[in-house]
Amino acid sequence: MTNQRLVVSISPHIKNGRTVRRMIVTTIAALMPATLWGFYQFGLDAVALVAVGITAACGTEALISRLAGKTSSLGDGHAVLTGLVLALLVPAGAPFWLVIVGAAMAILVGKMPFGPLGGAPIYPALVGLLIVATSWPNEIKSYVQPTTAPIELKAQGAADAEFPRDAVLIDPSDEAEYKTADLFLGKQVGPIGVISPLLLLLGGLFLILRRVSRWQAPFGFLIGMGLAAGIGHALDPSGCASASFHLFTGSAMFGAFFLCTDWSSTPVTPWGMFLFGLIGGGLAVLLRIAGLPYGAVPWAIVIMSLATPIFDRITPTPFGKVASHA
Amino acid sequence: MDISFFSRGIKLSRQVTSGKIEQIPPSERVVLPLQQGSGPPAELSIEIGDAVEVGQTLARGASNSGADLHASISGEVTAIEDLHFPNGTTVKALVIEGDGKDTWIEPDRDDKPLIASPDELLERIRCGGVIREGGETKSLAQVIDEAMSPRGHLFSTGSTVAKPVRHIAVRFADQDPHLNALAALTATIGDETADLDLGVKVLAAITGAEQIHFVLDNKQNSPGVDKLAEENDYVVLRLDAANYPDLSSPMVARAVSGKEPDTAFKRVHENGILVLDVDTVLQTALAVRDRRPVVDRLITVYGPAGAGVFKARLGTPLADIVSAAGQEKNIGKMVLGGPMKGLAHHTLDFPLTKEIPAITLFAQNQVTLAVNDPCVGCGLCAMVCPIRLTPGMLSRYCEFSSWDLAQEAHLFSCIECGCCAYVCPAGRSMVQFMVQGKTELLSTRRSES
Amino acid sequence: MKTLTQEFTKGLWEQIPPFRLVLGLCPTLAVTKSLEGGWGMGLATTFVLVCSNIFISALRNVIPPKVRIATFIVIIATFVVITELVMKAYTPMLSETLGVFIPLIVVNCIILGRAEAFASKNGVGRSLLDGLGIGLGFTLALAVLGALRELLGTGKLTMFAQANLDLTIIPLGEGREFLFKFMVDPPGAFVCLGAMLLLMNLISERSARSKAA
Repeated sequence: MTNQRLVVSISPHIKNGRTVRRMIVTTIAALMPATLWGFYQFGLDAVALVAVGITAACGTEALISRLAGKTSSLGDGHAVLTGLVLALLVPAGAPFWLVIVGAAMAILVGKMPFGPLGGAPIYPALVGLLIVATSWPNEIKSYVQPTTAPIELKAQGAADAEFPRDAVLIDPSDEAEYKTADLFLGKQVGPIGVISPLLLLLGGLFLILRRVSRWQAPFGFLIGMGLAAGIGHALDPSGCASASFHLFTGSAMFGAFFLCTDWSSTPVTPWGMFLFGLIGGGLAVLLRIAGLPYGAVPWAIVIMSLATPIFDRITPTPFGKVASHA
Repeated sequence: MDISFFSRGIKLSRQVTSGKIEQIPPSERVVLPLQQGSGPPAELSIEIGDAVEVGQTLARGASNSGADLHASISGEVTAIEDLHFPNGTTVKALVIEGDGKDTWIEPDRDDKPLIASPDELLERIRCGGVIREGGETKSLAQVIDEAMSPRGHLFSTGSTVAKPVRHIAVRFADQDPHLNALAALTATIGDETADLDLGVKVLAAITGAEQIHFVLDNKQNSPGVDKLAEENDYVVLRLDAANYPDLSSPMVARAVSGKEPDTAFKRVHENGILVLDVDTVLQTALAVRDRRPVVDRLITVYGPAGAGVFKARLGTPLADIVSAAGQEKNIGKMVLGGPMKGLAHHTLDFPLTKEIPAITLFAQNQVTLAVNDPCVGCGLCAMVCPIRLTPGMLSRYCEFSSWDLAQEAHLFSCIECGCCAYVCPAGRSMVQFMVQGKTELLSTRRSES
Repeated sequence: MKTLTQEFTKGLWEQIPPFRLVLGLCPTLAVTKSLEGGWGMGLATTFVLVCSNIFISALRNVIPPKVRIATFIVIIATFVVITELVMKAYTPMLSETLGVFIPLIVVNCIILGRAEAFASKNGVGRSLLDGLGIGLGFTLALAVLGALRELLGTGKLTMFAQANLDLTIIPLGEGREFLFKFMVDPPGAFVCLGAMLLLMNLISERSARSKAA
């Protein structure tokens, strides 16, 4: 009789081979079309900013891991994703140090204090972005003219009021100047990675089909934005741009598909995800109309992230249990 | 309202059956544990040194709910030894040294079993040593007993609350699509459905079930079973076995009754729905008509070299079965059961028991150890959980010993199907956490009462 | 029993209020936008703490235990009003900076905490030294935090705005007000406080380890 000792472990004994690293790599891959479009529109400046962002994020994470005496978690690629997302959310004209500080803050304040991956209550890249955005409100708006935008960027420094860095500051009476199709195809002014709703939509759908993210939060977000903007536009056409304009400008698509689908900072239950997106989308439109000086979508998502534990309580009724009417 | 469309459960690849069942010849020496299923162990009715024939009763199960144990080879009972079960318990087991003659006892056949009373039929099932497979292994008599008097007898009133069993569902394919013993068995039944017919009718007579359902995989071709169902007004249901765990008892119960049974404490069969494997039904037929006890069983051997279906005598060393399947080389891990729900055991030196539906083998280079990183909160587990729990949260509650929170989050509804662990990118052993949580809660409850 | 010197020095390191006792966080987070705010708040608190400690310890055998908290608050409020009026009269700019946080010293948990935990159980001399030590520790902590935040946030250090004692450490470009505005924003206060706590724990852990070795 063999006296061989075999490995004993709990079931299941097979896995689908999915790892954190692979899921993050898939997310990065889904971001690539929009990133390349940004590179095409903004040229080498954009490439340099993205490279700097990724390097700064990885560098900070390596440094902190070393100082804290932990094994480096660089291998899972989350630092790369954080740096990339941060760089995609700043305009191509932003100074390098802005991205470096942002990436460092994202890791230092947004990620590392909360322990290993999965602890961060707010998407780390958003923490970094909003820290630099509140600190340097002018630099974060250094938009540059993209190669194929249908309209000329007016005087560089004073461009604020005229360009859709976020839909709020557009005078809705100018809306006729922007063709919705142009906006959708990515011919608009904005941060590096968010100007092409089409490519972001494709990337997001890819993630959903690959089962890396779920449809509930992104589509809830888009529905929420569409509803809020539609109602606002119907009530006051001069005060609120149309739903399509809101959906195709600023970081709406990016937020829906890549920020609302973060892991630890968003809910995991079906209705929780959907309501998270729905309310977040409405909030984003509200913040745009109310005239938040910068980043209505990021702020809306950050605010919703803080409410994630509440949304996570909206669990479905388990199999065979009677729905409680509490 | 559930808005998680198209996402519950996981897709697994299905083993295609060749429909061939290979017989493994009786072994020289068999080991038969007295513990069968989760009930109390059977009581010895012979003595060491007795000569026994195949089918002779060795030990008697508890009076109303146990199952008898029978000799699976002819020879001499030589010893009682301790046997270590994979779940950590140690059980007494009988050892029979074979005489190589394979003589059977003469059973007194009853060609018209259906005129017997239900109690008599139940008694014959118990004496036949039939064990219900799939889900929690228990003696079939006990399962029927529980299904018909659910928990009523636990209360101090002393009277049992009779509850009719409304549906019986017979499963013709394994829950785990990697296994194909039941599909092969179904293929061999072909048109000879007399045993199946009798088994179903006996069970219906005992339980008074209103409706019989035949649950098949949608890839299965079984004209004989279809014909039998048509003749008797049974409902044929075809589910997708590749969509694991659609063939598990709670899912089948939902499919046949349209109502979700409560899965807490594994008591699906107490919701008026009895889900049985076709194997069990055939054993029932043999036990009541031919009075032929369960002395062998069907087993899938699934390993790196593919899957095969075998029929072997109970108590045969698993090493013999593995070598008969030609998979004895380079084994790194052996699982009693399918890859999704089976229990791993540390040695091949273990007999085939009534509870083992399959052996899954992994080569040494296929063995991966759990990573158990912290939960990243990706929510994949909540997406696939067929019970609609939030396994990630539950695993964290159990990881940090918040047992009460876990119970509030319906930990006991978990059916331990393993879907969450299958998809978990952080490599967490989710089932481990769930089982640990249940064990802790049950032991606290036991010490309190 | 600690020596009198220890009663004084414990507040400067081992029981330094915001970092070790994690008390008085409200003013710590709110007024440390500038160095001036930090030390101003610290000294005002120190004054109230010392005076109330003296009075409470002197009266500790007279105060009925059932109404002691109310009595403490009356005593503390008296000194707070004195402080507030004096500051309004002589340092109006500092008073403006600190705003509502001066009257709020009444409910500062450090003061009530010391009154309850120390002054009501010890003699006048010890209570005085305890109040002085804790108060100066609080001042030190607030000043360090204020200096750090102000320096990072604006590049300046306002020693005492009324006397025009500002230092520009990092010169900024024309028309720029902030260096790293996040640091003087409320969230920056939390991050800085967290960083200081980390630093304190790191230092004491290191010293404990070297002592053990």
